[in-house]
Amino acid sequence: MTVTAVAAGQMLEPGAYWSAEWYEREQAELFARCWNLVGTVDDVATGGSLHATVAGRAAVVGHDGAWWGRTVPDGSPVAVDVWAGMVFVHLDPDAEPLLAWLRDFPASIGGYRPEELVEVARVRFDVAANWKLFVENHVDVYHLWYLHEQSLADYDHPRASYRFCGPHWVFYEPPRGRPMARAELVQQGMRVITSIDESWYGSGAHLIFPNVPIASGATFFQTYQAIPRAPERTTIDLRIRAEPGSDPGAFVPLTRAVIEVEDGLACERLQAGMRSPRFAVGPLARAHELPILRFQADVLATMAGTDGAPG
Amino acid sequence: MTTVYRLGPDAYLDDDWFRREQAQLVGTTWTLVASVDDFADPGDFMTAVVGDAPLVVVFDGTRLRAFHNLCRHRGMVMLEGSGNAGNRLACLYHQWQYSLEGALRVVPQRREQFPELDLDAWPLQPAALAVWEGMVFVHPDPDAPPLAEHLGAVPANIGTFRPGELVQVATDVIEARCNWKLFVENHVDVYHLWYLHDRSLGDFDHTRFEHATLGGHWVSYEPLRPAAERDRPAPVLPIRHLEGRDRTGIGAHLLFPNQMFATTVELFASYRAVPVAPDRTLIDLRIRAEPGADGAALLRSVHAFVDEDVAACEAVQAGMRSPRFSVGPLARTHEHPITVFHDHVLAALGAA
Repeated sequence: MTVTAVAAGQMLEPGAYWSAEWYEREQAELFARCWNLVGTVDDVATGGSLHATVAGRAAVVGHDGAWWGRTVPDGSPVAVDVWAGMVFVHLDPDAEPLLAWLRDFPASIGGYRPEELVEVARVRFDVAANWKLFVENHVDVYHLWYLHEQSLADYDHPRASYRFCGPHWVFYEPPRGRPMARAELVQQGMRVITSIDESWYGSGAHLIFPNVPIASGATFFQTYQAIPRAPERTTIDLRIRAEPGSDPGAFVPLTRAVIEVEDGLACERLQAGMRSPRFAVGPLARAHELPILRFQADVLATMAGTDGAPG
Repeated sequence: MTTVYRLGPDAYLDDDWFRREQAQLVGTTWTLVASVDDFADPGDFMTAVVGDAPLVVVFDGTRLRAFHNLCRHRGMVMLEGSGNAGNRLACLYHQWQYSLEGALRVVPQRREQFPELDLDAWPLQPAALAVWEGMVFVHPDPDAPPLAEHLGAVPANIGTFRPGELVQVATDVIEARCNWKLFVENHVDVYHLWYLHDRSLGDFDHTRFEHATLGGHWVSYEPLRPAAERDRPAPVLPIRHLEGRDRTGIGAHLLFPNQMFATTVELFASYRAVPVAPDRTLIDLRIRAEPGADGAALLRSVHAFVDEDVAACEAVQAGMRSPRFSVGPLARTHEHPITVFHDHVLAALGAA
């Protein structure tokens, strides 16, 4: 299959978002060449194991003094590694270590220590869209003002900044006006995370390439992995971690309103137009949508077996 | 005259078949998506998906326009359902805004983020629109041949009906768990009238059913049975302009490939079989009648036979995955329109 740019602003052809052939190729040439999040350390009791699907292959991962993993049923060994309480698998047992793959991402997301937090809520929902649309939406700064006009109105989008860590991405924007006082945050039932300083009380949004969006705030650290199910169907696995004793009752509906209702709707409406013979992507916002192009370039580079996007 | 069932089960089950039909047949035809009655105020809009193309019809205060319902920025489907958009068509993703004439008017943060952007270069993509007898048709290709060419001889063969003099009194969307072609085949199947519609169409004289093939299209008429002519209650609000035999009989027509009509002395119904998946179809039903007609009652009268048709089509679909599914001999004349329909489907897909 040849990969052609369909417009100045878009590197992936529309079929990348709906064709079964593209989907299969991604499993073999993208996910099989990346570290894949399969769960948290908490998911695996000592001596226990967890089953996961990695790049279309069934695998089992366990902890028995040390981490181990193999594909099922053939039993080929896979690489297993842990960062910040999150368990990752690479189908290549000789893959570069997880920490090397993450580049300077771990050092770029503030003082969060997710492994010291507890999971206070987990929500899984399906989106009728290709998984890449969900990731592209996550790294799109431009839509914050409009799609999330109400839901993210408390944040100062003009002061947002982002940077790339290899193929990974780190974003932060401060609150608008005065930062929320600790007491107000606690009143919502959540506890302020003790390991971060006030400069992280705004909205963090990050991506571990290729499919693990992360969001953080004063009281939470959440991953919402976009798990491909079919070319036009994705399961979002939202896992919210917070200080022990936090009550997420008021927080969960707020974060779902952003991620599930608003972002989910946007992705489904993008998908709905992609089979049209007239579908095309026009000009993109110079800086605010640049991360979309970087993501697409990194997808293509990984699938081509080259090192990564230039610059 | 050879009457055979030309299409195999894969034409009703297979995703590739479905995709080819959407791209080469359903998505490349004039499609009835609204009534002029649906548009009263500037900004009133109605969306529809024609094949794979999301489209929107908008009233700009002077005329109806059709556009591809895709924002020029990221290609997002902009509008859903129907309603009033005010004086701007806006994309919820990044608030790009277009005039009701389709011109790009607002690009937020343009100076900073799109320094090179020429607004005039990015209008909404036009689609073709034409109105026949109060019914709004659209075509994804703005340079499509005229609607009249597509309608061919049908307008001259619907008796004395002038649907443009009627108003839309009811609409409905019916879900059918079957391939869209089964619904069309059922519509042009004369043979089933006696049996499936034993009661619902029992007043009509199927032995005097007349039908004609007009290219891919099809028109028909059947009169009331003489006994029913005496016993049947008088219509509540007959269509005033009907003459002669149209004052008693019924008609059923097909605009190839998927637009059906049914007529009685009281109504002119259009129903489009909208393909959604190989085994799922939505029936977009619209009923035109005299102003003041009881839309709910007329809708019930159409449901009386359409619900039977849906049940039959779903039952046929349910058997199609069986390794033993097959179609046997067909009725020589009564099922011949099915063969004609298949011939035209195959021709459109380049497989004739």
